[in-house]
Amino acid sequence: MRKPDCVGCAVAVAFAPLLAVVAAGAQEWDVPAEALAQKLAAVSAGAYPGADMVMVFDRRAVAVEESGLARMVGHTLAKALTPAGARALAVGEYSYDPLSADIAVLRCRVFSAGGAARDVDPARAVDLPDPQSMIYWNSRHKLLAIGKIAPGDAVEVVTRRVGFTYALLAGEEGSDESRFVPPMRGHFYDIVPFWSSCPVIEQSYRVSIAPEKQLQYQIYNGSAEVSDRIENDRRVVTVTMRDTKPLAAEPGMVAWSDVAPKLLLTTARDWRAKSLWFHAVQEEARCFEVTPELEKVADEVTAGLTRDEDKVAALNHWAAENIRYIGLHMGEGEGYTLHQASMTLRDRGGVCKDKAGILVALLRAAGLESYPAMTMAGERIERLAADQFNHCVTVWRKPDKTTVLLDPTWIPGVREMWSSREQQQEVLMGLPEGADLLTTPLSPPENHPLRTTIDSTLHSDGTIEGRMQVASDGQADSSLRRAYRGKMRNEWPAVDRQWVAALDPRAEVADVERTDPDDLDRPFCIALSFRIPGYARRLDDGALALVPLGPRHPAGAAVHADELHFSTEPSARRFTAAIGCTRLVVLAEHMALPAGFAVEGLPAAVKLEGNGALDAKWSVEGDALVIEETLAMRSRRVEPAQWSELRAALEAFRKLAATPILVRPARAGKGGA
Amino acid sequence: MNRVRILGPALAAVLCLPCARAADTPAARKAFIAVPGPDAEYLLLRDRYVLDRDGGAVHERELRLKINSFTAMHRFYGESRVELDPAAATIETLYNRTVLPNGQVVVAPENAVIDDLPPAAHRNPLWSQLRRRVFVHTALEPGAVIELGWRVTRKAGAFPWLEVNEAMAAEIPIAERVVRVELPAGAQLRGGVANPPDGAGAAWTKPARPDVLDGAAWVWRRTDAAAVPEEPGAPARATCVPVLRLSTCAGFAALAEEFARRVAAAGSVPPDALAAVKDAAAKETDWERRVLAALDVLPKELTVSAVGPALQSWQPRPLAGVWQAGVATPLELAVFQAAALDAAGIAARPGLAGARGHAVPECPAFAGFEGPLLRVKDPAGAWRLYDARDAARGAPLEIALDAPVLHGALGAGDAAPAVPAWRRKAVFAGEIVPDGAVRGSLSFSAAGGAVPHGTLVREPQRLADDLAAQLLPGGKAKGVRVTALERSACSLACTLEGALPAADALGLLQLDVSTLAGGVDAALPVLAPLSRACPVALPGPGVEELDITLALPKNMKVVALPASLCVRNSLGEVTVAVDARADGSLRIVRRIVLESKEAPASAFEEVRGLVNAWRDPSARSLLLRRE
Repeated sequence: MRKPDCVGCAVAVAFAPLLAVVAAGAQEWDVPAEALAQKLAAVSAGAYPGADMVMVFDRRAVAVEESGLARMVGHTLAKALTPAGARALAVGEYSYDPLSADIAVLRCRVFSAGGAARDVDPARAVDLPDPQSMIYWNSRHKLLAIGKIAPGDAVEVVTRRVGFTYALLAGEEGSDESRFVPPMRGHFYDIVPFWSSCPVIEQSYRVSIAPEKQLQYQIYNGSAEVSDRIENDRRVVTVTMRDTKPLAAEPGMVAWSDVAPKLLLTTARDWRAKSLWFHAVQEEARCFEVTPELEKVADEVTAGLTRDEDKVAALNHWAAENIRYIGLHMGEGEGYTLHQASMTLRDRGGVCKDKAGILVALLRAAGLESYPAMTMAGERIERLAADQFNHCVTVWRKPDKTTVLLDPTWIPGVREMWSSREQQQEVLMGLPEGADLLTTPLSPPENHPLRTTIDSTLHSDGTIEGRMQVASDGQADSSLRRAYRGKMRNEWPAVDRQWVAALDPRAEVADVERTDPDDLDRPFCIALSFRIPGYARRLDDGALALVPLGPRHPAGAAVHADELHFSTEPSARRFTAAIGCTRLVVLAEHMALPAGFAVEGLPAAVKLEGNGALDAKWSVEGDALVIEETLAMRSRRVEPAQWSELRAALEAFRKLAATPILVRPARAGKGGA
Repeated sequence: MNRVRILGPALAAVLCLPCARAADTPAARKAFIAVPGPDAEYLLLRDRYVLDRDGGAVHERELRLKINSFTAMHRFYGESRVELDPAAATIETLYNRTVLPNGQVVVAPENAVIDDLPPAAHRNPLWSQLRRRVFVHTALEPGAVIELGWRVTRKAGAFPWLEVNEAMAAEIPIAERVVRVELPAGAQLRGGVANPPDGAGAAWTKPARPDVLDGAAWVWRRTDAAAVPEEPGAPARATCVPVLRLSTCAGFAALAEEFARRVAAAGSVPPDALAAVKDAAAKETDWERRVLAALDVLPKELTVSAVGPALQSWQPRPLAGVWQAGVATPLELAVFQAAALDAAGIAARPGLAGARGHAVPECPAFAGFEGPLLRVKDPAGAWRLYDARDAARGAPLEIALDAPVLHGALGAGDAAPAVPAWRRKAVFAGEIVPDGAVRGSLSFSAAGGAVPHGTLVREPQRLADDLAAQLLPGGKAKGVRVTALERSACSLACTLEGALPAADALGLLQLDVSTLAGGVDAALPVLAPLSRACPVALPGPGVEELDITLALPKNMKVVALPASLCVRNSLGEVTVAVDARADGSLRIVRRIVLESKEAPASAFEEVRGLVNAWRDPSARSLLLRRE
């Protein structure tokens, strides 16, 4: 048995459980109504200002069998504090996947504010399909019409769940519940959030498991009362938290699971063991078997290519662009096993694992070594090997045995092989010899440049005209393409104009030249001529007031780029922030001034270093205003200690985007730049 | 000019030189080879309706849809969906297959047809029996043709007549559009085509009448229907495309009678619900506030689900069940509100608003009437319209609603009334003191569909504060007085205190004088500078005027007045008039007149002329400098 790691801020406290729960499946939840009414009487709305409801308790008791099959009894008591809380509690919804789990409502009671209890017949729960979108895996839920309640009323619900949540692989045929046995037979894991959108007075999780199962667990991002003891030859671990309040979200923060209290439990030894299992189960299912049809596709796509790198690129982009993201349920094997590549080819569709799987097969068909891998998009994977995956990708292993990650799901319309929106993300490769968890490296801002060059002329009547060129690559490139590929082609001419018109409705745009948004062979670029009558405002003394066009970042404005829109609040962060991607923004404008005019009010040069870096200089050279700004956003995840650097750079960048200058006839003479 | 040049590799290489990758970067190749032309096109779109003698009906759809672009394949046309109530109808899949460009036919696997829950019915126990059939189209590639056929069979007695509501054009071209209607002998078909295309021809008014045994059949057929793109700022879709609207209902009286019957079948208001409504109303002495207080109760008590009237076949559940469940559809809420108000002594009825421009007077049908609302009789005996979810919101609907309304009490479906012009005006006269503080008096008046009636009944201070904050940074309204309040006209007066904004880097103080809080600014369309195919929806007819007079202190100088301008055309007028007086005061008047609610596509440049003049940055602010 491994003791809790208790790293970070987790604190393990020996805890004699107050709960009457001894083992899941017993009737511990059968608490007399009077006892609950008494508990509810002590809960007053005044103690929870702003909350619509309070969770008086949320208790889960899990019993793990030898096969790994888990039975959980959930027992909750929630009190409505406002009309909105009462409305939310009027309907109970309990989700499950029929191939891996089942759930039943054992009890439902409504307590009035006065303490009277009424039973809601659990048999009234109806079994319904979920509304689904893109992934049609026949997920379902039980819906219980609890009925209208009033603020001050409370709802007690007891549910029993059998099965597992993440590993959606069907088990062997046999008993009725054999399908609920996890695919990694004999093993158990769980991920238990200890955060909530409402206050929670008591939340507990109790698991009973055979000691030889070698359960490991850890509490992250918080502290809890922990009891870990042997009871009746079973190891029983209970984790309880009390009086937790909803955490205040920060704009642009990472996922709650990265920063809020959670409990992870697993019997898997380590990630390498999981990697070995993942590799084996796919190979045994012959997911990547190369059929003649797959071989034909691989041959056609790689025809004429000699370098491995080129073949990989061609096949990766082919899978990205030609396999539609759509999830069809294949029955047995859905979940951790990938659809057979031939099936994905036939349907020309699949979810991430299927797109990853067909790419593995195509690479193998082309004579390259390839495997699938698992990852967690948008959330951190912890060191404890509880399954924390929501995404599947592909590994190409080069002849020199180094590995390259490929993601055909995240790169439609992206020139990269691996989306840099997934940098600083954990990945577990399913290699034959197993692998440890890895973290994808930073992708430097230089890989994602967005360069706007404006050659303009300001006329004495305030009209500005010129030519703008926008060039890009990496994720900056894909953000520009997305403006086109997200729309019907008959809307593309309007998009062409929006690069300037988004900033000023008077803009006239002509002579548009751009690359084909579908063509990933070369970076996306666009060039256009523009004219904006009256762009500069004439003042009483004949001077022209304007904010130069370049620093306003027209392309960024049109695509709502992070550098213009990512919130710079709060000034100090508690949580890590996550921008879309690292980025290098280069703005250059050469503005020819009206003859005899001089510039006033040039802002001082800016040079900021750090996680956000800005190098900006506005100057007058001869008869022209010359502006050069370079902004670098250096990491996707921005730790609280780094936040002040990024924030300062963004605020300075945005301040320049709103900085006016005066262009004054020289004879008016109020001093030049 | 609209010419776009697609860059070849050489020029692209020059343009993109600053960010070109290293020479050994893998070549991606063009991974997706789109088919030229529209993103997708219907080769065939055919609907067949059959009404049986027993009242049962069949609706069959067959389509052949060619996919050409990445967006069409990945985003818009990969799935087809049909929602239905299994208690009233069944659905069959006739075929779901894809024909590849090489002619190979790929039949979609069985798991590509899924029955799930319509999202609107999620967490609504009263409508949890609703289902949605999703057809996933597999084997898609550029140039492939989706072939889909399905049949919905409606049980006898499930609906009192047959209704057809089919668009005859789409956002993509349709090579062949067919609608066939078969009726038993003696059945009458009413209706026709709303918004027929230019030069529609006889087929639209006299459809083909093929012989059928013991009955009658009509066939509408259209070939090569051009795409009608979904453009930003367009009016409701139903006004942009031709829509075939048919019904076998005997007439509007029968339609209204049926609606009244359905409302009556919902039963009476549960006693405790009625008591709550009465209690809320009793706390108010003024009739206007009493109505709003009563209408606040049910939206707080009931979760409003998204099941629309069509999905529930315009049939509300019994109110007792709705109250017990704590969940109501918008139609049920409107029926519940009307019944509760009526029982509380305020005459009220539910109604249904149709889509603007959708009504074909000769077509008595529920289809298209998708907006439940509430009709309330005021003390003067006039019927008002309220939003059942948020009765205090916005302008009086009976004035502002630009749509036909179906209701039961009067026995008729009203055609869309002519909406009178609205008017909104604010006059601010104030002075700026040397330290930058601004004080003055503000008067606001409105008429027609611009009257914020509910807000003035309840929260005139909030309205005045919003006006003040828009006019001056940190502006506050004091001494707020509602000087007149009717449904069709109102006025308000107050004093206003605020301050000029801080000076910018050049020492300039820029005062925004562009618009009124809650004014027309946000309702004007955002238009790309291109020609269009669809009309443009405008928030007219109406007039908005902002009249500001400011006295300046001696230590402050005007460095730029808002640009004076005047743009006038057949759609309206925008004027910005600025008068700098000898005594140092300024008067700025911004005015926009919109003559209509819609501009034809051919008048697009005139729309742009007005909108861009109103949004002209140089005419929206005043620049001052301290001396």
